[in-house]
Amino acid sequence: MGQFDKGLFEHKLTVDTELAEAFSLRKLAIQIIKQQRELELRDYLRKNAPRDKKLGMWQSIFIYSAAASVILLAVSWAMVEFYFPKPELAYHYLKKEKPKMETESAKVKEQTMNDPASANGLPATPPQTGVTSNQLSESDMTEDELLAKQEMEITRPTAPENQQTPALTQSDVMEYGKAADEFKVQEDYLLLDTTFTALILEDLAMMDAEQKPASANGYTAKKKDTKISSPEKTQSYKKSDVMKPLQVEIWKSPINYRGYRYNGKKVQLFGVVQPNKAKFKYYKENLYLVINEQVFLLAKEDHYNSYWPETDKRIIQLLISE
Amino acid sequence: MIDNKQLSDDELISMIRSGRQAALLRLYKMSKESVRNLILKNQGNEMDAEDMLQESLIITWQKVIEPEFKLSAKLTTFVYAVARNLWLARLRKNGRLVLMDDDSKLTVQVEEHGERMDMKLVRVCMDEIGQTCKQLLGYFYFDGFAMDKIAKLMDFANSDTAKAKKYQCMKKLEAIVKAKYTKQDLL
Repeated sequence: MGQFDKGLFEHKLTVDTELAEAFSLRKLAIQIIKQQRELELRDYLRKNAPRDKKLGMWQSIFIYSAAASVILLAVSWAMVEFYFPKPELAYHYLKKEKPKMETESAKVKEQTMNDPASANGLPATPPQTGVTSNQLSESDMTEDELLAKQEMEITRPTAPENQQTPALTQSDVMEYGKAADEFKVQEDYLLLDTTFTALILEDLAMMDAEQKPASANGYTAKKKDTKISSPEKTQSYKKSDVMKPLQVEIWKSPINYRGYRYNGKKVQLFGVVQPNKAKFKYYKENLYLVINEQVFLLAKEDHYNSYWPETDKRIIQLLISE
Repeated sequence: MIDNKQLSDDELISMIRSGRQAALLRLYKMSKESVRNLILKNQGNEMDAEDMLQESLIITWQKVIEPEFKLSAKLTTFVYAVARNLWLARLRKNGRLVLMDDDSKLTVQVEEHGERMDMKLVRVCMDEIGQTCKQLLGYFYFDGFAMDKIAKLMDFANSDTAKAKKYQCMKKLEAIVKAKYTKQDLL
């Protein structure tokens, strides 16, 4: 609309009241439309614009309480971790091969624990009935034995018999390796490493039959005389004039294990407190430990054994007398 | 639903010109912090900031849909400038000391709103003409859309149909307004 037309229209508005009324009405309607649309946009913003949410009093209390609880728990946990030692875990369940601690405990389990001779520094005698030491009453045990038993119970939790050992995975092995590094076991320590001379005793009857000297563990004894004068004539054995050297190690176990291992060349003895009273004798290719008038057969095996007393009175008498 | 992708000013302008309100929301998020800081640093409170932001966005919307609108700065700067001028005008109007703390160089001519109508009455009038008329008249008088675009947006057969519908809607509204206002109000 040009300037002239605009002026003409304004003039008409002043003279024509109906036109002015219609014009005002249209103007008002357009204003209403615009304001309506503006309202719509404002409503849209009000509904969809993100608000800064303010927490209510109870919400704040709840959140701060939860946070405080978490912090308190964390601090408590840290204090417990710091002041109390970690319980020892039974890592041996993860490993097919038994770890060292297990082996030590097994030794305790196998050993005889109710032998009065142990008070004199002698190796324990296994029960004749075949009942294991763990089945004996605690009142019969010495203080050391009780301690050993308690330690065994602590270090070796009993698993159900039907429970299978979980399959060993690579991560288990790695985990075990890490744990094993941290798992400190007090080791056995060597008290004495010396060489004993073991006397070789041979049966005369056998000697006659074979017409040659008996050999003990591959060692050929040199016989001087196969005829033995009285009183030895009444006995069916003779004493060899050759002594066989035998390497003997006296060990002390932190759990007071009593037992031995003899591999044919070397004897490892545990629980012998008076090694100076020990004597070693071969008879019929078997090695015997003679100590404080007690005789124990030392079987040639790769694993550890408990001291097993000889029951043959003839052999006992023979070995003690010589 | 709008995604969180950063939109360029051209994209936002395009969205506004096609009547998509999501652009307004995006612009709201982009401009909120700066406008809020401006108002809070210059004697305003949170409510003032929210009110100014909404009003600035609507004015920006109206400016953008004008055919002759050309953006000389970032769109958010434009919103900020509008908010600044609006707030300045309100402070002057209330006779309060004006200490604008900003370094905005952009000035936007903002027309003072005339006397506000009774919003309740506006809503009543527009509700009576129905949703279709409300939308059609809004597109034509507020958004400035051409008839063929309105026809396309509102699924009319063609622009003539839209024009006829618009005439009917306007007559209807005028009748309602005439009934609610006195002759004195109109003159």
